[in-house]
Amino acid sequence: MSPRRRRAATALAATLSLALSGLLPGLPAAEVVEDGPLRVSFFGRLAPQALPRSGSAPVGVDVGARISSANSTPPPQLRRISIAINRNGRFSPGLLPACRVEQIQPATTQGALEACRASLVGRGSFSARILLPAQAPFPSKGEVYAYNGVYEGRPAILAHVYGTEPAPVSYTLPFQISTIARGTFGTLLSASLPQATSEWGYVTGLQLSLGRNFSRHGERHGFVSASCPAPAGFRGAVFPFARATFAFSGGIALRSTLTRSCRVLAARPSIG
Amino acid sequence: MRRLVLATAILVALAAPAPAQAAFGFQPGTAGFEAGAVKQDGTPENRAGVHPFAFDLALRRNLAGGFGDGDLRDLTLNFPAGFLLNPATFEGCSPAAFRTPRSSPFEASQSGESCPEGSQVGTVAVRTGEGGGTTRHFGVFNLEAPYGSPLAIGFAPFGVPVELVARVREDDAGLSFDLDDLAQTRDLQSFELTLWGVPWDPDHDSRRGNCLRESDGGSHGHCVVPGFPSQGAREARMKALLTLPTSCAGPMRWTVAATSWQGGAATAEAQSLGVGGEPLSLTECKNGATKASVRLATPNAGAGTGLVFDLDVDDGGGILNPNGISRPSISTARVELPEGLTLNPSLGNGLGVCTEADFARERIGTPFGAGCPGASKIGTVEVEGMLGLSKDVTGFGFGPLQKPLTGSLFVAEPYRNRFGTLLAVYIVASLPERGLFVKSTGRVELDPRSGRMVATFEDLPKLLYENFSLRFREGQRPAMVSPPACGTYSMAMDLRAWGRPSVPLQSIGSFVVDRGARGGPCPVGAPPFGVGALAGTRNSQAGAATEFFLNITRSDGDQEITSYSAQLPPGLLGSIAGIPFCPDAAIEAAKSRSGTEELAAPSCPAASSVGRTLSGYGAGPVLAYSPGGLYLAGPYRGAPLSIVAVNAAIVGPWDLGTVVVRSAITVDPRSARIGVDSTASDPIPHIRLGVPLHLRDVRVHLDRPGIMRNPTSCERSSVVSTLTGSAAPFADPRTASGTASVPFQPFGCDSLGFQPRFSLVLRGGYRRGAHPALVATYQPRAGDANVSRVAVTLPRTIFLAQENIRAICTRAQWAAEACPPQAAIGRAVASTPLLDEPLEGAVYLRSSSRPLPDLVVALRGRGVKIELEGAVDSHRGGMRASFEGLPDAPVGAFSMTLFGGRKRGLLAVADNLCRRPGRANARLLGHANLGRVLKPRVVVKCPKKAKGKRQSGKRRRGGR
Repeated sequence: MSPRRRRAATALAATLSLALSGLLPGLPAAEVVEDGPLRVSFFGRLAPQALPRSGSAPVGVDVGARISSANSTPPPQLRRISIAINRNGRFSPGLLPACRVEQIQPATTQGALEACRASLVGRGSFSARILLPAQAPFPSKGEVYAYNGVYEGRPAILAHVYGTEPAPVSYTLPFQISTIARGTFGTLLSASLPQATSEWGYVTGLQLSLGRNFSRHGERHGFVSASCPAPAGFRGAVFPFARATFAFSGGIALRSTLTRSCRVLAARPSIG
Repeated sequence: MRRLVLATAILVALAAPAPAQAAFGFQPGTAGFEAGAVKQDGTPENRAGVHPFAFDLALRRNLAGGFGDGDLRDLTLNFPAGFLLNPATFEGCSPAAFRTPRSSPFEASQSGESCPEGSQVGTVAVRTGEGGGTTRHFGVFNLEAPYGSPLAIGFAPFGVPVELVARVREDDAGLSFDLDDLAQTRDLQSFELTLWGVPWDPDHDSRRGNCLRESDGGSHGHCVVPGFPSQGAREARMKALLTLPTSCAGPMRWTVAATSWQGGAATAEAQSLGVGGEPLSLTECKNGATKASVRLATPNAGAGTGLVFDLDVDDGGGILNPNGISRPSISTARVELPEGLTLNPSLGNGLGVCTEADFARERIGTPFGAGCPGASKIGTVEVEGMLGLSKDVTGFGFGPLQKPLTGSLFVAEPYRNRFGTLLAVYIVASLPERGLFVKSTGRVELDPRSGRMVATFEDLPKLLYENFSLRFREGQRPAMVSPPACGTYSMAMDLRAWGRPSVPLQSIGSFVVDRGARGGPCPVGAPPFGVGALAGTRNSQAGAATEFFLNITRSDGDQEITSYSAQLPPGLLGSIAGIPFCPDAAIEAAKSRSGTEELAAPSCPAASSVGRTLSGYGAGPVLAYSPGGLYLAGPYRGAPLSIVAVNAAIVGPWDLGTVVVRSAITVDPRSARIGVDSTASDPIPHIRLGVPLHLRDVRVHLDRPGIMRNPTSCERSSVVSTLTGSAAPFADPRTASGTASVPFQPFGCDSLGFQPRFSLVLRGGYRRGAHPALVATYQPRAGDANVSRVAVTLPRTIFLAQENIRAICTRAQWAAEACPPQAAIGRAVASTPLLDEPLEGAVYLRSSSRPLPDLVVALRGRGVKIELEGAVDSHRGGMRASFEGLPDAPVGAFSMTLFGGRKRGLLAVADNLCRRPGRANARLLGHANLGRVLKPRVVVKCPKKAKGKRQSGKRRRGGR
């Protein structure tokens, strides 16, 4: 490529990057996938978008999904949810105290915080529609507090759900954190839905905002940290941010991938 | 001088040789006694029922040898049955005139009377032995009959008054004439009597009064009868005196019996003979011509009414009309009354009975009440025109004669009457001063299904009459109940005449019902059905033990009550603790018992008695009431309990058996409201033994001490009664229904306290994640108001373990009592002073219209089902169960346990309850509107800590 053409391509890419980066910030634009009447909206974002090209900086990851039906039939029951995060994002569960499910289940949000406040890594919301035999379905929703924890011997994010309507209940969804050796996505968060909702109803929404900054031995750390994979010469990049797989009863599985962008954080001038 | 003559005569008589004398008696054969009716031409009259021109009777003593042995003293002439003399329409001769010698302008009369011409009914030729034997002719007169006799005729030959006094024979209603104590002053040897068939026939004028020539029976010529200036006046008096029998059974027979002053006795017999002397039977018999009719005294639909049964002789005035022909009277009348016209049970109120012995004592002259008791009278009888004794004939004859026979209609003793029937009547009528007496019987058959009556009257009067009328009582306790709808009601009548029992005389009668029950317009379509009700408790204090009464009424003309259902006010409950059930076998046995037996020894044990009833039967202002008992009985037709009313249906003299009505008692599972379910109850019988009961007044008294308990709520409520009715013929038992609502409201709620105790205990775990059992206990203070609403909010640290909701009982499953076992999440038990045994049952999760299923307690005990419905939700972060509309029922204690356990425990502990014990919030409201808020501590069993010693090892972390 001639330098002229290289400059033109760089300018185009920069323009596109800027254009995209100007449009996308703050919009957890949803990816909608459908299978028959089943509709899943998967959304997510990364903040901040300005990230170092090399190394990593603490970030916040916001992911969620809304499950609905295009007609009056209720959607199938969600059995399992898996979210793969781009390899440029990294989770650091080992840097925080681990909370166990038994410490927070069952518990009110306050009770869970009292037990595992040091492990808190995020929060969010959860909604479901409960279907009981011969009962009209009723919505159930609650706060979600995410704790860094251990589940079945492996690192996990314990999503503690607490709600009082129509009755005080709490669930804990353990998103196990596993590493993917190769490919675009390097971290997998996966959870099976609790029996209560899997048998008596269907999940209609889940949203988690993960991220916690903390200092350890004088260094700043984040529970989630990331870099911007912009090619050399580019000030930003568009990349596959996350890919979610939703497994439903009846063997239905829907997959959705979110593409997001980042900007390369300008390198700080070295002092001295 | 006269003494000398008399003495001489006696001496001559003693000295003279005794002449040959005949025995006292009559000459043989027709020479001694003959009788017969004749036509105007003198030939024998033998047409049945006609009025002959004359009747001749000759009686000649046996005078063989010239003397009769003895002087005639008494004489009895027996006329054939049905041969009638009707004296009532003729002028009578007063006793004074009969004993005043006649003064004639034509001759020296030897008649001892001076009776008016208007009273002459014939002539008589009398032979006396005096003077060598002399026959003279005298007038025969209609005399004023003595008391006890229908008529008397007489003549006064040679100044000797001869009075033939009639009487009606009891056996065949024939006439007999008695001559008593004939004076011996004349040696009367024979009579040749002629009675005129129509005394005022002008043909007899030549021998009337002084015109009669005594020497030979001829006439002194053309006589003018005083008092008859016009032909019209005479025609008014042209009434028949004589009537021949209406039966063609054979020749007419007369008998005579006589005694002498000397002790002799003689009899003779005569029969009607033809011109050749052969026996002459009556011919040309006619059938009866009587019209029977029935009419209501009150032609209102469905009302109490009297009834008039008439037999009207329709023979053209045969008994009085000279040209008429009498017809035989009716011996038997069978009347099929129309369906809908029924016996009125209220007739039985205070009614006595006439026994066979009482009826046998009824004779002429028997004072009222000396035979059949006055209390057994149910109507009156009137016979008009018998022997012409009619109130319609005035202006002639004697006042007393112009009265009809009157009498009474008595009810016969049930079953012990000559017919052996439940219902029979005795008929007694008399005119004692005329010696007339009627005694008949009536059998009434009742259709057991419809109550239709078929009345058969037998032995009706033989003597000819114009009208025979039976009037069944009206007034306060009328005898009948009219059909429930307006219209013309027809009935068939079968009449049989005396002497011709095999010839049916069919007659169709009808009566009209043309007004509503209370005299208003006729009901359109089905009869109306209105219900009146009164109900209440004797003690109005809220929560107090009380008696309960219920009074259901309907009006005459309304449809019959066929079923009853009711809803008592919420909280008005029955207390059946300690009351045994009346056994089913006893209830069944009661149905076949008589009312008398039931009264003497009730079928159900006294221990099961809960009250009494009083049932008013009939129509009209006064009903017949019969008592009954109310007993507690066991489950019936799906209902947990029943009440059986055992009623001795005795209305006056009629024992209609025992009416058993078993009513299913329902208990509303939610409100515990007590009801009577008509669909599961026995229908109320409308007829017993053919007597429609016409139940109009039902009084129920639940008066066993403590049997009922008032609500503890003073809210205004009501006793709702629903009845179904049916119009006769009761084909459809539910043609109409009516509802009556009676307000009900206790008072004194402000005097009721409300200080219950409430506790919560968790068993089986106190740490986070545990699923303990929860025991909730409610215990009211005695005498307090019952609890109406409970809302219990658990501490926020107790969660719903939704994962343990394994099954929910659907509404359909609940209704079918087929909840899956997994839906049972607990047990509950409640004790109540109303029942012997506690109510127990499972606690279920049942689907509801709310987000969460309901918590429903299904209590059972002694067949009673109670459901307590609790809504589950959250309140300020705590799980709440709210029970509203709890039954207003007294509870000794209530305890509910929700199962615990990891797999079925519905509750989950979300903290360490020993470190942070929680308090629940219980808001309770009593039915008397007094509330309490309690904050009971949730009791858990915590491990004991060693005193002064810190737990070794790792410090427990929260909840572990």
